Amino acid sequence: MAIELGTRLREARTEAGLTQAELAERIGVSRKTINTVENGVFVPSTTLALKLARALKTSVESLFFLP
Amino acid sequence: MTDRVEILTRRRRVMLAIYGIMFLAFQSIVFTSLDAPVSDWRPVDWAKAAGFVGWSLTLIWVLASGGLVFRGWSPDVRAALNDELTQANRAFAYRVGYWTVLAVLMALFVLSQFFALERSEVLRLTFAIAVAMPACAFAGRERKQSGD
Repeated sequence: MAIELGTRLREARTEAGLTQAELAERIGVSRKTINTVENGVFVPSTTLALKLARALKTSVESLFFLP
Repeated sequence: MTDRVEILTRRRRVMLAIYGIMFLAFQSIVFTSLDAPVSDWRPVDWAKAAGFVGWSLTLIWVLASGGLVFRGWSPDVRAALNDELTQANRAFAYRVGYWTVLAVLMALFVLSQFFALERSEVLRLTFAIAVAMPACAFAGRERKQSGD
């Protein structure tokens, strides 16, 4: 069964004034990874979710949620 | 850094797709002579065998190594080239390879009931598909995600 995960990553990134490339560089992944997470194509691991939350100075719960 | 990562990712993707498809196409054009007994091989067949092995190892290594294939680049770039998404795509590609090989083996088993198949031919083709399919599946998946 496919895992479905809602995300507010795009909104949080935009609020932080970052581009996908800048966020990708901060956490050491490719821009494509950020793009696929934002579009709900790729479900990130706990580690990556924590890195995203830290880079955006927010919590994992505010970035991701179960639909 | 992200520009470099994107360029190298595209290069890896194109390389895997083109070399994977060519590797499969060459099975019926170039490598059929390898099905003869080794004692009958001419020097050109030994060269073909070396090409077959080298080509296979290159495809396997490029897909399996992720960022390691880009040795000259900084650790950050190499890490981004082998990030979580890349690893997930690689796992997907190996799954495609597994199911394809199962299907090919089943098809060859059915064909063997009606036609005489050379053992070496069956082994070579199955191996070639096991090498090329994951490479092509990985490239296809990355291309889809890139939106090119």
